[in-house]
Amino acid sequence: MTSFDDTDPVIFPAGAATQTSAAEAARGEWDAVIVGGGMAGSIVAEQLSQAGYQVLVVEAGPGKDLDLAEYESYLSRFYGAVVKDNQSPYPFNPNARMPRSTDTMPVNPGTPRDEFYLVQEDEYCSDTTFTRVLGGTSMHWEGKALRMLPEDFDLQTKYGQGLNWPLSYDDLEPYYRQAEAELGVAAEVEDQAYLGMHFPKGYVFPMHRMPPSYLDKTVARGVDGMRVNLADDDYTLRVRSFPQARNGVPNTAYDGGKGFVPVGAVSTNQVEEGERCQGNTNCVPLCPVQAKYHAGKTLTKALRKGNVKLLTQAVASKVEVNEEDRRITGITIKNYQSLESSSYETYTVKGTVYILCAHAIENARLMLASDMQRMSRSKLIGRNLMDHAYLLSWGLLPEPAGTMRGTSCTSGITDLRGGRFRRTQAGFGVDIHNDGWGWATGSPYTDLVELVDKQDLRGKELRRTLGNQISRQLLLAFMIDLLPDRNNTVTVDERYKDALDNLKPVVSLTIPPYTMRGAAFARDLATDIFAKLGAEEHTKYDRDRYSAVEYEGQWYNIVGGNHLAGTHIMGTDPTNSVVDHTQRSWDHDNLYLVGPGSLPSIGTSNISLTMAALAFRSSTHIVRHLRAAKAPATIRS
Amino acid sequence: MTQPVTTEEKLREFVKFSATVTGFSEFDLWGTGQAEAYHETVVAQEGPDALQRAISSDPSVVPVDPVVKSIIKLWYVGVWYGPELTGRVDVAAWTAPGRSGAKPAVPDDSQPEENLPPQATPGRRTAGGDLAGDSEDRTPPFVVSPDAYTEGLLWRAIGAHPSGAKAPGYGSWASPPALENH
Repeated sequence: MTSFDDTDPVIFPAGAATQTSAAEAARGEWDAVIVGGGMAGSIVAEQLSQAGYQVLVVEAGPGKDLDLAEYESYLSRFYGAVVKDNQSPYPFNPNARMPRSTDTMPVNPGTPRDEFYLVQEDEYCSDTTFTRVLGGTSMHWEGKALRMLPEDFDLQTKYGQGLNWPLSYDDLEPYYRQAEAELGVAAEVEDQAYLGMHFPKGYVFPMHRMPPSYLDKTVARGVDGMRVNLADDDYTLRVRSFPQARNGVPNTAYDGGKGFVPVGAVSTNQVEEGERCQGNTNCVPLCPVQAKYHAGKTLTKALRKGNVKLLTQAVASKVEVNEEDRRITGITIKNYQSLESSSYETYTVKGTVYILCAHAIENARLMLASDMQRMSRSKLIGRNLMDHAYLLSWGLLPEPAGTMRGTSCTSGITDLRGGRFRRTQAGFGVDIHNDGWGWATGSPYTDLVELVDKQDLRGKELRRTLGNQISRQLLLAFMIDLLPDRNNTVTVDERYKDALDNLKPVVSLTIPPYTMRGAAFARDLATDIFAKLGAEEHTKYDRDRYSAVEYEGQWYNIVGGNHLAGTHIMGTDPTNSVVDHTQRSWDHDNLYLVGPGSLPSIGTSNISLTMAALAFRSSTHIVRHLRAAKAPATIRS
Repeated sequence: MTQPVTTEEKLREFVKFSATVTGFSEFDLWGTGQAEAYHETVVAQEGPDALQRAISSDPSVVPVDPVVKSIIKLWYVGVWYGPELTGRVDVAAWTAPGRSGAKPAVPDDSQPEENLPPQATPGRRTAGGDLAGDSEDRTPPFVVSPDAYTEGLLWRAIGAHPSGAKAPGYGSWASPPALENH
């Protein structure tokens, strides 16, 4: 077996992750220092690597060489974990904690300081998460890769809601295609050209769409052609395939007939993994076979040229700023030795440009902990925090529909993502969940306990009843738009620090009436859909949960989407935004904030594809910046 | 009925009994490779006498012996829920694979990172919910081993595969489900 093949982009160069030490990295003068080895950081690193720059990536989480053994250890930890939440494959790391949905409850000022990572003091608490390991949240993301709608970019002008982007759909379109190639998106243009989304003539996605599940087809029989009236407009619904960043059948027509070569599993040697999606129904929290894109696939390419170095177990603790010219002079990191001990050494790493790619909450946390709000002209660091508000509805179909098979979700209803009704209520997308009621109820384990413990079933009757019951489950997840609101915030508070004495993020998020009007409409729509399908309604909302939200006398449970965004929004000038359209900080010339934090609105698209497109776009600007900065002075003047 | 004496006989008796209460054949149960581990788990958790009582109990009597219920659930999902956790739907939600909307809130540091050993400390600190291990005499639930999860009978009963393992193959989900009829 060949252990290293230069033409194969997924062979991780053995030893690359341990080539540099914190001490050595601090002695160097890098062209670019990137904070965060997730999707955005990996894309920027790879693009700068191609341009020939010396790049240092600092990653808070653990991560040695990306080999299959480490990936399999995630899987084994997931199998063995008694609490199988969406962080369960990843080791507990006291030095770079991450929020877990199971630690959602209000923190009182008197709470012991180590109890939670994400501090929430409000009555409503979000169970949203992000992941701090090498590869970031792309390790546990579901892999839906939707573009934003053209109307999402000027929501304020069109509907008087939210904020306009300083970019249009057309500005971003070429970068969407670049992101679709990098992530390996499986979809058909004919399915995705709706609500104004357009593609250049002849464009095809890298891979053909994932086959819709039998469950999708069952739902389509009731939903296709269903008409709804909303704010005086009629909408006709249909079940539509979602674009997904996971390996399927390559489209031979891709790139003018050149075709597309899917990227397989990342490892230090060639492995028979990472081919087509096999239907593990486990996209979240971990694809067992790496059919789903994760940032390691891009990072591997970045590391292979030798000009990108990676430093793991290095938590960025402070951005060093020159008070005179406000340029960034370094990033101070705490380099911890192991997950078992909180002993660390402090270093400052230096570069020509600095790129924070640590996700919406961590980027804001780091800047606020570095006292950078003081220098911000907009004072918007940490403000406008967004996440999709999810409302779940669940019912039992009249016949077995094969639930619990396929990828987590193959299709949904997208017709109410856009339209004039957005003047008064939030748009939403609807996911048909192939994994049953699990998200809402803890099924199928809860069904087992109900039948065995409460109904005293056993033997063949138990077996038959379980099969009949779970195969009929239908869960609709409504992903509802949440507009930017400056009062939804990430802040820091001296009372809350982690094991390395870094300030923890304090999150405050309120679900506004605009979103709840969408939720209330979604609730009724679910009832209509269940009626069309002859499904028995089982939805129940619990007002005692921390996810409970009251709207017009009704209680709903609004759960987090793990689509965190908006803590350093982009805009047209330094008073209305934190970054410009290239994601460069208005206040610090050599600082870029690349990630979902720059999104001024999230519409009804899962944020990753847009974040990736923006990362590609910003990379071209960072290359220009570096070219100018490194040019001889005579040319520069 | 002659009381089994050797470990081998006890194991065989355990599997035979398990086949009756789970609705799967003895071949199916041996095929999981978990028989020994499950037998040892029940003996370690409840003691040989409680197991013997469970095996000798009349399966037609309702309510079913709580130890029997624990044994059924063990075979179905590979998790040991002690008899004191009978009926705890909240604990079941906590342990189910998948997203977490239904998982009761517990502080981060009270969540076992690896599967807990059978002798895991009872009385772990919890808050916000009356979860497993909130009193001194309760053992928190645990997954017997990573393999126990993937060998759960539940997945076969529902015509599927364990979430994250034994994938049926590209596009398999597009066909109608094939549920075994019993």
